[in-house]
Amino acid sequence: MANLRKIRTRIKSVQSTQQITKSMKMVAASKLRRTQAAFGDLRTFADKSGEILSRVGAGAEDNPYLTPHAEREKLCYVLIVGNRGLCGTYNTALLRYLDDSAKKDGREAFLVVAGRWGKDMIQTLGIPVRRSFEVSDTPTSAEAQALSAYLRELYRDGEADEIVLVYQQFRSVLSQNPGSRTLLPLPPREGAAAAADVIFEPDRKTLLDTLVDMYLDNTVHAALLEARTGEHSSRMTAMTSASDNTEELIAELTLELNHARQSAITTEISEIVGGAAALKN
Amino acid sequence: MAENFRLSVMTAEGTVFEDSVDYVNIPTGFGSLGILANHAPMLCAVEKGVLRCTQEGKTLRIRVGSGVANVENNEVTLLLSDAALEE
Repeated sequence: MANLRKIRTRIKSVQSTQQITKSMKMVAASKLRRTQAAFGDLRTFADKSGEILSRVGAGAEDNPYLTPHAEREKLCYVLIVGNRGLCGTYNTALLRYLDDSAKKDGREAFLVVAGRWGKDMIQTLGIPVRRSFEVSDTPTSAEAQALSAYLRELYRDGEADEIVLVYQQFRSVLSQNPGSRTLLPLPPREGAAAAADVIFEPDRKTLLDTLVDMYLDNTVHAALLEARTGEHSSRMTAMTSASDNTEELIAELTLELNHARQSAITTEISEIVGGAAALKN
Repeated sequence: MAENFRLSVMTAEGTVFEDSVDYVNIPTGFGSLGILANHAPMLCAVEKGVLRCTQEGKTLRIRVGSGVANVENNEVTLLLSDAALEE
């Protein structure tokens, strides 16, 4: 009988685990929807501002972000990790990727981290962390602007000669790949000449500065959203398979329970029959 | 009736306003700027302030952050750091 009770408690504990994984899956799914919607809104905005930027004509001459520094020694990685774990290999694969590319590159580098996950894990990479940013589960434009303003300052003050965003790029809900994208310096735009018949108020340079800032904000915002979309879908996938596994485990345990119960009953009956037979004799 | 044109006010978090209007007044660094239909193509820096637009005699107010305004083909598009309709 002890065995039966043990199996029953195990089934109960697996069931409560299942409840947790199922609700985590649901939460991830709804956050995923929200993040994807925000991503759609941003895309319209970013397309429009890119279009307008090309009307201004982004030549390298008069904007600090379009001009590469003479030396390209100091490298800044912006690592966008998740806010939590329990999302498969999402965070660890990203760290491995960063470790590989930093070793391959070999330049002096430092990190700016966006996201709450793995403070200790990131430390083991041996790359100094300059600053950490908190980013919510659906990154807002205010959060993106704060991060982007800090990065612009690093570049302008010569603290960094190159700024690279490292994050999980979103392919589909089932697949994200760690990748990187150079934020600064901006590549000069091919064949970009200012449209001739446009009035600029107050002048072209001011507008160019505003638009480039906006472009950088958008790029950072898009990367944050893309990384978060990946995090939520990765967690959703992980939790789906965890729920499936608990389902299987429960089925197995129920079968085991029935076996044990049946054999207990069989033993009891044979005892009774044996007892009755003994009385008869 | 006055000729109208399309006005859209966009931020990174979505479009705040998009409709036909008769007149729009945009806050800029060199004072406020009024735009009517068939304005020449223009790009203009927008400063934090209140944008007013007239739509069939009614005036709407939108609080805006900094950004740019693009005027092209009878369409005015504002790209802003933030914006909210005033009640």
